[in-house]
Amino acid sequence: MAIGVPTFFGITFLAYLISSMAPGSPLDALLADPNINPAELERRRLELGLDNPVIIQYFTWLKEFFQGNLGYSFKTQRAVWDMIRERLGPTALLAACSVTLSLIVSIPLGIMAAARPYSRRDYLFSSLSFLMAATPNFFSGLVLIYFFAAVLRILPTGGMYDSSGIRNAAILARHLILPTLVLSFQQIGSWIRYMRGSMLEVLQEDYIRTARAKGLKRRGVILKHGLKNALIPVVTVVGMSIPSLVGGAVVTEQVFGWPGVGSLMVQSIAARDYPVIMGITVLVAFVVLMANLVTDLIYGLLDPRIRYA
Amino acid sequence: MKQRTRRLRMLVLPVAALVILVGSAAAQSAKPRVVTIAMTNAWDTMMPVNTNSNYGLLVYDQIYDRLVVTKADGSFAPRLAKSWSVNAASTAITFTLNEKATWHDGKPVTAHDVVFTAQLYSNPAVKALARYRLNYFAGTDDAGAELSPGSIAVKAEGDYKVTFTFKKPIFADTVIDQWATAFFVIPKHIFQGKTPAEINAPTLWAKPVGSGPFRYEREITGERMELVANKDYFLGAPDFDRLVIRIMPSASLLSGLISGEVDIIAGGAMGSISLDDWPTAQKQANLVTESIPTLNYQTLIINTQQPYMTQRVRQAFNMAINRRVLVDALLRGQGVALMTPISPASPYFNQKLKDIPYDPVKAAQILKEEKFPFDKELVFYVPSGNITRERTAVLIEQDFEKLGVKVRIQTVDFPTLMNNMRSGTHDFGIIGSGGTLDPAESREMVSPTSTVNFSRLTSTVLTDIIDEGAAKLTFATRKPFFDKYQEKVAELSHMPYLYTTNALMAYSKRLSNVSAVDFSRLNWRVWEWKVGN
Amino acid sequence: MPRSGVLKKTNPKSSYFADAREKFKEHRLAVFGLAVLTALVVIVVFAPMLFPLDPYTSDYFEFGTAPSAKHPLGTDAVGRDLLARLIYGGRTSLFVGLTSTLISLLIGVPLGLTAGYYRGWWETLVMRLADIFMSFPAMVLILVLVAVVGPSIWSVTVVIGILGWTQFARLVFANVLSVREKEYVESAYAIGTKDFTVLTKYILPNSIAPILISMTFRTAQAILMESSLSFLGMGVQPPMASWGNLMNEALSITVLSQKPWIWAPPGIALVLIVLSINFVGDGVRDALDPKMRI
Repeated sequence: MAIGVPTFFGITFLAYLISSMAPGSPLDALLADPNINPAELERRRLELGLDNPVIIQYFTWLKEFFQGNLGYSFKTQRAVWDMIRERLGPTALLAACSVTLSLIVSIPLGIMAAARPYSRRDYLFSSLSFLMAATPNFFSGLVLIYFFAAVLRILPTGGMYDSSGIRNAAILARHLILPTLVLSFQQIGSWIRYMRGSMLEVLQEDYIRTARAKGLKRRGVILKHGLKNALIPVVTVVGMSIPSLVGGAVVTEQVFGWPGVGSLMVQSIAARDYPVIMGITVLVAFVVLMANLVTDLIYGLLDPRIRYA
Repeated sequence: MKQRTRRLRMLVLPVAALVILVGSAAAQSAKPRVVTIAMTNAWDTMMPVNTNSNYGLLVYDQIYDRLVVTKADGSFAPRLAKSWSVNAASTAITFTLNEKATWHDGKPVTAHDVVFTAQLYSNPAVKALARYRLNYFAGTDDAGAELSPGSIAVKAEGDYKVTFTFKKPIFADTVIDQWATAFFVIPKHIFQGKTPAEINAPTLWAKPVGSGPFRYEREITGERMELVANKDYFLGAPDFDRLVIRIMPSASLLSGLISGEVDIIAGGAMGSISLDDWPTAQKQANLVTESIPTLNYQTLIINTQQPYMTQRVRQAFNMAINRRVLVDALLRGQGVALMTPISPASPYFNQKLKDIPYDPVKAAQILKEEKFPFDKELVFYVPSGNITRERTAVLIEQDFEKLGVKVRIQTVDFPTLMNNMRSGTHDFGIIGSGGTLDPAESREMVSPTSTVNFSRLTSTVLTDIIDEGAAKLTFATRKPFFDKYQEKVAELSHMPYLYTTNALMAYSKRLSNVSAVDFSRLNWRVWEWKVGN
Repeated sequence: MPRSGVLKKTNPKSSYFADAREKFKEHRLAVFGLAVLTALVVIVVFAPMLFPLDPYTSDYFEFGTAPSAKHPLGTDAVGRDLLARLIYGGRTSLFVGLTSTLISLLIGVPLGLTAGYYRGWWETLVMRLADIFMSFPAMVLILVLVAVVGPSIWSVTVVIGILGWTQFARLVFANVLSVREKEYVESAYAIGTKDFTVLTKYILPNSIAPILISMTFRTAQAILMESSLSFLGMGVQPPMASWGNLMNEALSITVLSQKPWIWAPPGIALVLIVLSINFVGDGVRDALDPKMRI
């Protein structure tokens, strides 16, 4: 934890510094709405207190933060925490589904590829995983929307629910399918590679050879002895990708109109809405710290030699 | 025995059929009729007066009522006020309210609610970003804040008449257009006695009690809001049961319409079919499509402070823009070329003003005569976010390069654009404006003291004309000034105006009696829509 | 588990790199990747010199037309030739990919080297900084940075470059740690060799293999990042072409479903180049040391 605290300060200060360097003020962002009368902005200038130097603004923000107050958005005048809190649910849901799907697909495929390396099956899975890892989010999103929503019309083009007013798990699930697929696509590709590589390494270890020599069945050896150890680096990879799921699902959220934290971040950057930008940064920093912690804990569970000190 | 069972069967079957028929009919009518409207950005807040963004208006228009609304042709239509009159000296306006109006909790809407609303909005302790709209009224300062508690000059005369007094004689239409169409009346009996802190908190506004055609039910912030029809609405009950307002990226609007997820889009800048999608939309059998002329325009900006941008040079650039290609090829005819900020759709349009000719040869010659520095690379700032505008910039860049000039486009986001243009390092810029019926709408962009004076004018010649015209009290006395304004704009060529864009609207055939023309004036009249199946 | 077949031993006097080349050739996908990559690079670099390709001039009579003899891939919404824009877009992607990787290299390698060699507070600082950079979602940081400096090909390149140093630093750091205790390093130090010489002559060469491999993967990553940014409108700006911003038009359902010639070629090209770079990287890794963990 002591390691995490300076990191936390580092992240928040960097974020504040950088975002305040962006040219233009929140008022300028309002002009993007073509219906805004330029005259209106004159009157808002003084209210926002944007004249103070950056350092002062950062420490003001920090002080408020320690009092449990994330401040108010320049744009909507609402409490930043409220705005972020509303978006946490959809983001967490999408992230959880994406990680689950990725694990369910990549672990078995990676193991199967590693079990018979350089075989035709391995080449198939490897090529597939390379292809998936090479496809950017937005491209797979476009293709999937094209097929499933525009041509086949069996899946919705976006949003969380349909318009019937009913909000049940079935409808939500239907709306989750495409965004989850898109978000996971690239990830599955690279996780299969990791799983395969990690498994390959483990399978070359002496204790595997010993187990086989003892006469244990191949599959049992792979699954029982190899898997647990092969999973360790995978845990790292999963842990490292959690933060990017939270803040980085930006493209997916844009394409599908999914009301998550990523699209709020993009909007706030465009609006120079510093309180919200900082609020989201804090959130992401926190998630990062948590992810590292959980990763370390799981490490300890999987490998008794490593215990969280 | 067999006889009896047969007779029983003969009785049971038709009865069963009847029950099934009645049951399914009942189930059909029990299923609520839903209409879904989509827009591209979410509302900022549930406090109607505390926002500068128009996206909230779609929401407030359903839950609350304003006094008056605008129609596409520029006329005003009654909403909460069934009629109004201006006194002879043009110093006060009196609204007569519709007595049938009631709040969602049953209590009647009266003039006292109107007075209370005005006083609440003008209270400086209350957060109200749009407060400045009140600044026409006596008893307030320039920002619309009251000079002393309750000093705003509004008086109720009886339960259904209310009079507002201005600071000085003013053309009443301006006041109505700029204030009354955004004045959402809130219930006195809910907000009375609350402290400003309580009023500024979102709680009181979260489950709003309004007088409008729909009641708030619930929302997923940033994604949708669900409203239930107010069957007692005083201008007529909506023809359906639920209204869902959905937020969707603009790219998905047409696919939503095609698949039936969405019935109608909000219109104008809040949700329109893109030019690329227009031919596809028109081909859909289940959609009604309308191309609606609007006052939204795009204009080029020339930095008049650059030493080489003399008036003749600017006129030359103005002449070099191929507006016909812009309107016919890029906009596919869905728009009108402009020379000034006042479009042909406005009553103030100067019919006698000659079009600026497209003459690149003459333009190049003028540049040579003015000793224009052809080797200098001119900076052209283009804001991102509007794909048609970005494409326009690309075409204009090529128009200018045909003159032998070097132009470099820099696409930046809006705040950066504003910042850079304010620092005066640019040569060209391009921006858009919603345009209103008020011909003085462009005043801030040409005023030397304003922060949005992007063409960096230093003389007040244009603002003087505008101010004189704005001070006059009748259309006939105002028009000559705005005619002169348009002539001067063309002459100065500090901002070569480009075109207006039509709002491309599409909605499901299951809806009818939709006056889509008024959508860009932020007037939806949802209760008038008729729903098919 | 050894690969099927006997390890080929050619000339006993052959060098490490000749061996590596042999192993690379055995990796079928890598060879395929190299071929595709070479073809793409050749086309993208040389085609504009051999054929008249103009990605910037509008053909006023052909706004948004389908492929034809005059415009083999059709035209975009303002009449510019899409084939030309595709090829120039390739140049943009390659430029951003390679240059940003170079920048990451130039920042990350010295930092990693010195952190591993000198250790102490410097190591803590560098590794802490690496933690911060690595754990923060790159996309978000890039968006903010690019908003600050304004999106353009250079700002995107520099920003992606600056954010990529951690990979190289960590790699080199780990490598330095494993090598610095070795005897030849210690003896060099003992006889008074200057630090700089120790670092460059003895320690750095050890890291070349992993650096090379990381470079290929990082280039692919950078190309993907640039295309995502440009797609969002926050990367390379029109009128300059990039595969990402060419696909931006596909956000309209009409273009998506009726005009696939606009978005499919850049998308496929993107996948191909990333794929082939990754294959090559995989092959290089197998060739240099199949047991190596990156």
